Amino acid sequence: MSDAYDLVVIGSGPGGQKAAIQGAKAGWRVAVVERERKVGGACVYTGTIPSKTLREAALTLLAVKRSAEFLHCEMNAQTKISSLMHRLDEVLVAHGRFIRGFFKDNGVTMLHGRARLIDARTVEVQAVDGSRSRLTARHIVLATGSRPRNPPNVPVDHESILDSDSILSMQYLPRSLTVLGGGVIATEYATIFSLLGVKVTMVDPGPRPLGFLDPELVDRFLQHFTTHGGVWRGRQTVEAVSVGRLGEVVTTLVGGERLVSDKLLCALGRSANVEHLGLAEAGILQGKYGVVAVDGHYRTNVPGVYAVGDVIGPPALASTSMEQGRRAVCHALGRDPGLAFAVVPIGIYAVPEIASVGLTEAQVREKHGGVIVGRADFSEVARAHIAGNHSGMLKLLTAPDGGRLLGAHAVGEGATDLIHVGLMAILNGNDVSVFLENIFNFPTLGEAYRIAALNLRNQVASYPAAVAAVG
Amino acid sequence: MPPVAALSDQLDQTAAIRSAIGQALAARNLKLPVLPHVAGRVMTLTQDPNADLADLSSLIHQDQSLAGNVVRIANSAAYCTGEPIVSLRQAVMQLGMTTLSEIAIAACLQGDALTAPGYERLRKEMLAHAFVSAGFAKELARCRRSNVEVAFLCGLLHTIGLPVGLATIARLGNGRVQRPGETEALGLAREFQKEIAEVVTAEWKMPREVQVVAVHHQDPEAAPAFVDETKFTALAGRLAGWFLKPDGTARETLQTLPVWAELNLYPDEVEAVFDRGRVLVASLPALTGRTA
Repeated sequence: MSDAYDLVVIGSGPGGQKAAIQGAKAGWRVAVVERERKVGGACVYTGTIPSKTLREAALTLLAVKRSAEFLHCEMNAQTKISSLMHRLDEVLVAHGRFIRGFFKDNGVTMLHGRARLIDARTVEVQAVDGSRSRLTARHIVLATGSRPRNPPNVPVDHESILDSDSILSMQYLPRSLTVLGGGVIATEYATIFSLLGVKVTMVDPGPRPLGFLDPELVDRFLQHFTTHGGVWRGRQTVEAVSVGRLGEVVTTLVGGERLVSDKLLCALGRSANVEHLGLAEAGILQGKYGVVAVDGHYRTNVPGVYAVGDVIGPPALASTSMEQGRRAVCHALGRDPGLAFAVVPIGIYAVPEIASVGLTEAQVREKHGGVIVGRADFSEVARAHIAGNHSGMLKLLTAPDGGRLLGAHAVGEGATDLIHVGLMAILNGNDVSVFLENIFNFPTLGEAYRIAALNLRNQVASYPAAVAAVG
Repeated sequence: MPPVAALSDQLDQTAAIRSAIGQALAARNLKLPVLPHVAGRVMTLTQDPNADLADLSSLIHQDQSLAGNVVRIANSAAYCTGEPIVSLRQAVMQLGMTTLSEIAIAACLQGDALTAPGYERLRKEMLAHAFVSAGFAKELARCRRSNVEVAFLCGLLHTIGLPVGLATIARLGNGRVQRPGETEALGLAREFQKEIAEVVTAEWKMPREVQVVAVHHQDPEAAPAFVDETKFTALAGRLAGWFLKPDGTARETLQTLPVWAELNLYPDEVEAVFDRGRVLVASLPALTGRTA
């Protein structure tokens, strides 16, 4: 069989998958090169799916606690993490089988090995036994993803000091966990382990976690986290991390304070997987932090070579990577990929969930000279009460005219699904009245949109006062 | 133990010991020897008011037999409070100085055959091999993002059938049956290694991973679970053997074993593991208090 392809995709994560399928559906001869034995990328094996499986276990435990407090349900300190993730293997096997089957059904060739660009049309594949072969391609998509970034003063040993790739290799729940970082991964794991009864301390230089999100949502999140025993140590810089003689982790902060914990999770961002790609040899330019630089069509500076997903930097979401993969290949095919996505929903699977779409309060105020915020507290939503989930909220944002929906932000269980209603309204240019003039199932969390829209509309007549109140 | 002396005049000495081991296995009457010098050090430490948990922990981590006993006793009804103890570190962290002292002393005192007299050289080699294997197992676990603590225990105890077998042979050879020579003893120990490992690791309530690895490391594909862990522990054992007692196998031959590819380790990653080998062997005297 010839080693000449129309499209070679390097990496089989979400971005690579969609790129390959888009090419195959168009009748192209496509190959995917994957360095791991299993297909699917970090998203499947060390990222999204495993962490969400553990999260579901934590939530189940919380539900049991809520509904059976009289049983004094409590996690045993010795509980094995693997016992909380008993379904994970099934999920991973099923997912891997699905992806392989999907590739096979669409005639995509899977190659196991590490890919390196020789030039803009040639890819060398080093098999795991060291043997090498070459492929040629009219188009190449780089979708090699990312890995945890571990700074030199945090000596990750995957034993006491772990990163997001190794955190789930822990066999038992530690008594205490220090989490370095205030981003999405840090926040998700901090809340999951806190919910499982681990004493969690988050340490970050920022004043608050998730600094890119609406502050009101973050306040709600922090309230929930600290209520469940978590500790937030903002505005703290880590000087050094070391392992003591008993295997305990000592985190020394600038100023001399020492935090001692059984384990530490380093979640200080991610680095693009570019080391083995031979970017320099192919003349491909890199951007800030070493990511592959691309334009609006995901083209690198070398014609015919595209890059998508984590390897091009933020937002580094599986959902976004998929769409980038599809769009890159649409461009290569000369097809219209549709309107560029200006609105990207963000979903954070912390406990509780946080989700956001569209503009923030500050952005609306800056662009429109003011903002009106409609709020729905989940304590007003019947479905949230029924589910014992009444600590969340939904915020809708408009300009001072109270018209078009410009932003939606939610915190609380179900927020990552709930936000899609707001997403569609924003994409369709809907006025908030759409939530008042139509019917929502009752009781559902969707009712929060009506409540928030009503709250927003009630402020329009007295807008100046509302502005003053909102600040 | 079966009446070995009664057989001595009629049976070949090796056959008599083979028969006795078989009966001991059937009766599940095997005991892990605790090395005398470690026993002495544990006694001294636990009676020293200035000693702390770190010292005891360090000592326990250094000895294969004591490590096994600590985990076994920590999992016994007297000490186990719920879910099983799965690693030495967990045992140390959870149990504390007092309990660990009790366990260590109990471990030292329980055996009636603490040594393998006549086979000291073999025992020393086995101990060194166990430590270097444990080190390699940790390195490989890190590469695979597997649990490093359990990997250490797997590496340390995967050949536990050999020293237990040797100690048993030494005890049996103490009677009227003449003790077999080193070669015969090692052959016998190897013959029963799998069965002994199965009995010992089960009776000691070792973590499931350790049990599987100890029984199946010679044929990882036959492991009913933890195939990856069994493969890299077996590889760790092979590397330890090569570094400690080179058998003439070329480095390149070892580096191209199919198991590296099965574990998805690329040539540069294989090279990095080999580079760690020198460090592991160099640290052996500090770990065991002996020369490699």
